[in-house]
Amino acid sequence: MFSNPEFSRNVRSQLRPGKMATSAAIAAALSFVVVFALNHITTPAAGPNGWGFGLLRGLFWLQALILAAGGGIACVNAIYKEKEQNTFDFQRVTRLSPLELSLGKLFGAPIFMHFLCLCSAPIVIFAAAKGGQQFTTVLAAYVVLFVASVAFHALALLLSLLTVRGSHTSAIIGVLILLWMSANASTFLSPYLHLGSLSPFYASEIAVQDHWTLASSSFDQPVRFPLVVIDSFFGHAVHHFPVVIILDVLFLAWFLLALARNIKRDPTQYELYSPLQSLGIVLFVNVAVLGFIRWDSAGLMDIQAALLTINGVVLGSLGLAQLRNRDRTRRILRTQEQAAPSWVNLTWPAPFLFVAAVGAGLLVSVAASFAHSSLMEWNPAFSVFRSLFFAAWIIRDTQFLQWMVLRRGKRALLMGVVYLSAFYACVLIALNAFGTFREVENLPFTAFFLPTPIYYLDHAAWAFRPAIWGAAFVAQWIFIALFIYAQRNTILELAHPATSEPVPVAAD
Amino acid sequence: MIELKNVTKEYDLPPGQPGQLVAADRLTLDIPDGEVFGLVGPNGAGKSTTLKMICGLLLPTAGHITVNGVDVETQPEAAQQHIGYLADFFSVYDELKVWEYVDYFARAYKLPPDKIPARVREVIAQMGLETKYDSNVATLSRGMKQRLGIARAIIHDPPLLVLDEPASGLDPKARLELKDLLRAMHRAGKTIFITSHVLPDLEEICTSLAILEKGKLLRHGKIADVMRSAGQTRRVRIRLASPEFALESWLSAHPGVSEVLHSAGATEFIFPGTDADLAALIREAVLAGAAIYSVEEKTDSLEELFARLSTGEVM
Repeated sequence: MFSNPEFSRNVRSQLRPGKMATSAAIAAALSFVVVFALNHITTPAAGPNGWGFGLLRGLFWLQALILAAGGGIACVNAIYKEKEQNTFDFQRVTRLSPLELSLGKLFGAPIFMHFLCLCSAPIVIFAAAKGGQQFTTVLAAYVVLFVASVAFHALALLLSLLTVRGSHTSAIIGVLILLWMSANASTFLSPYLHLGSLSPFYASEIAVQDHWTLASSSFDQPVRFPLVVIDSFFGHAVHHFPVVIILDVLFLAWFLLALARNIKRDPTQYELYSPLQSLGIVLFVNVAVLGFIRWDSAGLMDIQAALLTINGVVLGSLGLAQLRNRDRTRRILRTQEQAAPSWVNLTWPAPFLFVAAVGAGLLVSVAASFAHSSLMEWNPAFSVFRSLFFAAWIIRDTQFLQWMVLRRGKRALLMGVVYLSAFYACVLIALNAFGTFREVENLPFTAFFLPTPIYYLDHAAWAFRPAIWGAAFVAQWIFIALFIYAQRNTILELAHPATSEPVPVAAD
Repeated sequence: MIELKNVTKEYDLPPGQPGQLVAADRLTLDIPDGEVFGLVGPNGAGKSTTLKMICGLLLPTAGHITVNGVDVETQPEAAQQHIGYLADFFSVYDELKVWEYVDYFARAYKLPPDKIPARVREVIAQMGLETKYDSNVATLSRGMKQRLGIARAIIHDPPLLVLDEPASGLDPKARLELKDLLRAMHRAGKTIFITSHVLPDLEEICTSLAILEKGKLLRHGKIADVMRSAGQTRRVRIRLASPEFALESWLSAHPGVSEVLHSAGATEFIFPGTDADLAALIREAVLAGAAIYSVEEKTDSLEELFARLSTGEVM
């Protein structure tokens, strides 16, 4: 890494000796004040481990905040500011490979935050010694802190690459919200998943863990200091430490892949993932989620709804990543060999989303049926219908956004998202007013507009109003056909623009 | 060195305006090694877009570009190692020192590590920045930053330099130095692709040029060929040692000569013939008794030519 020019540039510009000395002096002074103050706490108030454990936990939480939030903001600024200053193109024309440039920025942009964490290492060691904590546990906490932060930095860097003028502040706020959500995700998901936190803040938990043995712990126990966090992967108890490392490294790899694929590209031609890679992400998320699912914690329908919601978020994000703007579409149309646009180009991204959504829907249904084979009736027809309905809903909204993106106008995608959000807000208010959510027999009517009823579709629900369910399903495809038709017209306009005949004249 | 085949770049016009902007309209160019190629055109003609496509920073909507035989689209890094690029508006990393800035790009272009310090010193000296070697980039003047930008572009000794308005913002002395530098690079065998609004500068240093307007090539080729193909007329100015001979009336009577004028002690006229015809005409005048001591040929400047072409006079 030290031979990476982009990393070295960041080190040179951010870690000047004067700045480093000042930061280290301030950190030393603060450490001294904190230790001096805590030293006056009486032993009973501090607990059996003295104040060492409390300080250790607080220090790791603070380091996670500095490294994840501070480093995340530095990463959001990293590419965006280079683009604003017109220096990014000079990096793009160098011989640095996309991966080298990405890694240089990933580790270089937040280097000052890494240094600040290093400045707090002496007090961390002191607190560990005071609390009698093992060196390996502190080291493990640092590994979690580093790996989870780097994964988060990669996400922030990806956002920085995609940030356009005017959305920089939103990107920073978005990164902080994502950090907050990742820190609390395990709380939201604990009813459904046997999985602890994947955020850098988990380092503060592991730092005060008093043992590493699985036998003394159980995943049915509430996870509280100083117990060890245990996950369950396909029914096997596993320690959360390797799980968090492996999952964060895998997420880091996915983010880094998108970054390296696009960092040296023409910004109008960004494509986060290829369709095949996107399918890989869908598979990865589903395997990860199904591996840690808590089948016995809730009703099957609730679990299935949670799984489909997760897939909805993943497919929605990947659908956004697959949208083609006017520049990309023009290029595809001009460079293809055929005289007329192919059906795939005219209907994109519907074919990709159909495969991904149907596959994900079936995977969830099949997994649910196997997990509850003794408790539920497995109906292949319902499973397929539910998957197709789920796919139709994802395709409908994404196809609408694709049409919006292809229309001329400022911030076409943003406007599309705003219209879609307004649509859902109005629908929710209207359906609530009519009380359709309260009565089971009226639930199929909501399926015209919202995806949630389909999550709970079973034989009993179908029997109430089969015709309405069917009509709602057909309506989705009619909407899709309309959006594809509108998109086709726009693409055909792009394919045959009115241009004058050029007459290039060579003088020689 | 550079080959463009039917390169097209289309953009949307701003919302509210129908149609699309064609920044490059099926451009086909072949620029051989060792040329100093000037791209001339008004603002918005598509010059910077063309340069960025050559550097692989923008993908063309259609068409292919190769640099030194390497396809820019499919092997961008391989093509970029042959290119030194300077943008029209750019910044430098103000928080770095001058040598650190050049060193960064030397490493980014993957020069052999043992040769980097010497090369950094050499290029900084070549740009006349040796006194600023250890200064912060933030303290440099606009002209110095421009020179630092050129140092960055040539640090890896590329065979091709792509320079977008390199003289913009430079004072007259710095512009002269820049011209000298470009001439030196040309002598060293570099191919230079340059755009500039300062047409006299281009005329002095370029061996070939292209005139671009609304994404279309109006003319391209060797400067003399472009001038000739644009229907340029030959204006000749003759000075006499003594005014006794009635040169104006003698010339007016000569077939092929037109627009004979006398001004500031010289006689100017338009002569459409060849160099040999002109030599014969002068010999005849001398034999007729004209005491000729000076014959000059006055050609259109590039600015005049560009003004004529871009107003559609020859289209």
